Amino acid sequence: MKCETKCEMILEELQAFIDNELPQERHNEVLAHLNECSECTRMVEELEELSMVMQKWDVPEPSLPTAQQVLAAAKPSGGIFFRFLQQFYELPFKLKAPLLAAATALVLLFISVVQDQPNLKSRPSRAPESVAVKPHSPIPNIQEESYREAAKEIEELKRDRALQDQIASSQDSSVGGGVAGSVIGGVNAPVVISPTLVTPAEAPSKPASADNVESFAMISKNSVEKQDYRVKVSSKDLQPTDRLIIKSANLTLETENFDDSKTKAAELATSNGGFVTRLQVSTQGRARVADISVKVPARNFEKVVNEIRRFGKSVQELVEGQDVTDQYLNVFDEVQSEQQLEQDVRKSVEADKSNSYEKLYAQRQLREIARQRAALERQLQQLRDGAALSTINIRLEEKSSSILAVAPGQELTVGQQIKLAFVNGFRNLFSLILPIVLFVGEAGLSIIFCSLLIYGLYWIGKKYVNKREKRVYQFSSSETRDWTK
Amino acid sequence: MSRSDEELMREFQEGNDTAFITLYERYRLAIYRFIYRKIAHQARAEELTQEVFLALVRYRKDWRQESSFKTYIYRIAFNCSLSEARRSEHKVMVDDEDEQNSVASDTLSPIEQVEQSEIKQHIKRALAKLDADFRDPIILREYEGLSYEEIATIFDLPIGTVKSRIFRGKLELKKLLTPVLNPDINDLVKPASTSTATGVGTNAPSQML
Repeated sequence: MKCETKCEMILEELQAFIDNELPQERHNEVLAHLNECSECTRMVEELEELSMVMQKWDVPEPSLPTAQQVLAAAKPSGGIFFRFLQQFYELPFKLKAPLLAAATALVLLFISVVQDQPNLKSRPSRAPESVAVKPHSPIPNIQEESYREAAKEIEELKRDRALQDQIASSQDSSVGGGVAGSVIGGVNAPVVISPTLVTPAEAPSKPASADNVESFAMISKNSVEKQDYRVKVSSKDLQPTDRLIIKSANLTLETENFDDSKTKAAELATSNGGFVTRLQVSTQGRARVADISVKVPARNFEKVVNEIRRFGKSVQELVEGQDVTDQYLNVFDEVQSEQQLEQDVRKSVEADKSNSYEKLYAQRQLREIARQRAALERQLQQLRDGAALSTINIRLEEKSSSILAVAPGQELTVGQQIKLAFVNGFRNLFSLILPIVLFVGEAGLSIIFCSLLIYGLYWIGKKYVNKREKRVYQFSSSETRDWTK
Repeated sequence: MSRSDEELMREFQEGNDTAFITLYERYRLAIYRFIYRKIAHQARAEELTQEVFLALVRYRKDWRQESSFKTYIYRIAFNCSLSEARRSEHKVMVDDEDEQNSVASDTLSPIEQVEQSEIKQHIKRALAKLDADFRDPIILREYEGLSYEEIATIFDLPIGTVKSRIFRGKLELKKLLTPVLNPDINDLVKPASTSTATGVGTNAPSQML
């Protein structure tokens, strides 16, 4: 019994005893026990035998590289790029993952920039398109034929002018009769200027001979496509024009800096040679609304409209270009004939020396004609003004970023405030999540694409590095194979 | 002439390549033997041995001068074989068929040679069956003669654990190698052998444990 407990205590240490790994004291104790206990002695013998048997497993002679070969192989192979790759793949995953993510983001950024490039380029040409003037204008349609017609007309006009000059020189005062017949393009062309269409190509050849006749339309095939149609109307002279277009725009915008935008709109009008015709601020619910009407010179119309668009988010937009050229020409025609009539009547009245009833009647008629002519001229003036000054109606709606941004003067109860705070909180939360959802939805495909791209590159790089490393390690593989033969 | 491993390693760290050559000659076979007995595959053991020394050269700066070089290099070998095992987890260990023919000794008769190679196969299989925790210290102790303390340092274990692992591992091996240890009894009285002759060897320890 005593022996067994001792055996139990000693057994675990028998191997250590054989291996000579026990402290001297313990070693002696075990030795003493072995002298008494035959079972433990036998155990020792068996363990020793086991060790002996184990020694029979010898290892085959290896074919190892020389130390020099190892040193050479250990030297970093490949260029800086390969070493860099090697280093990268040896990084822990914790570091590699963000790096790969960053690479993906970079690729996304790069793609977005590249894709954006043409948009950036096309922006200037897109701007006039968005102003719906071009489609309304008939100019591109009439352009082809008017091109040739205009040239013909100019020639005719020149001839007429020469004829007129001759007549004028011979009969100083009575010009009217001789010229009355020269009607060009449905418009009377007396001493006054006739509206014609002239191309820039024709322009230089013409003004020398016909002093009073000027070309106003600067429309050519190219300029139609490139430029906006500039309406050259001066309110002073009765100056015919290319195309009279009354432009107008109605813009409804949502803006966060309401006051700023309001003043800026007015400033924009004045700085572009226009003026504010109306400014009304009212309150709708919690938000303020400003109705601003401005008039700006037609040539600045597009510029101003584009500027205004930047004030906020466009809610509603209507840009119109109304072509009133035909109307203008008709009225102009009527004015001419009224003038002619007036002149004729006045001449006959002046010629009639008598003071008859007929003369009185004729004079009254003359007044009537003059009034009508004035009315027509007013109409003409209106059309010119309309074309010269474009109307822009702006409706600015205040967009409160927070529902708690109450209009000044309004007070909320505590309950309302709490409610609003919740509503506001949810709103903000939604506005926080929405972009993410939109981003993932819209960019999801490209994100997946980029991730796959990066992963593919990563995989290829890994294969490459592994292959090269393998090659480094296998410098003796041929020897190994030789040995196995 | 015979400088210590640590001195050589220090010189190698300072850029003396000949110091490495000496170290390599001292340890290459030991490391190879350890790995070979661990994974029982010659070609892979050769490759891993190269890897161990490549790692030693590449990361020579990592060796802290106060620690023992011997345990350091065995530690690298242990780690290399570990990662190798992880890498080839799906691979099935295959016996080196060539081995039997390879160490053919002229002094032994053909029958003895067959016997020898059979014993070798037994040992190999028994060791392969053994749990890695028991096998590695036993290999280092039995074949490489490392002290318990060195083994404890290599595997980062307390000495007591190493001691008990070696002992238990050997008991296990004894059981596995019974046919080799007692061939005569085994051959003659097969049914009785387990209860009589190997009674102490197999049953007694397991009772006592």
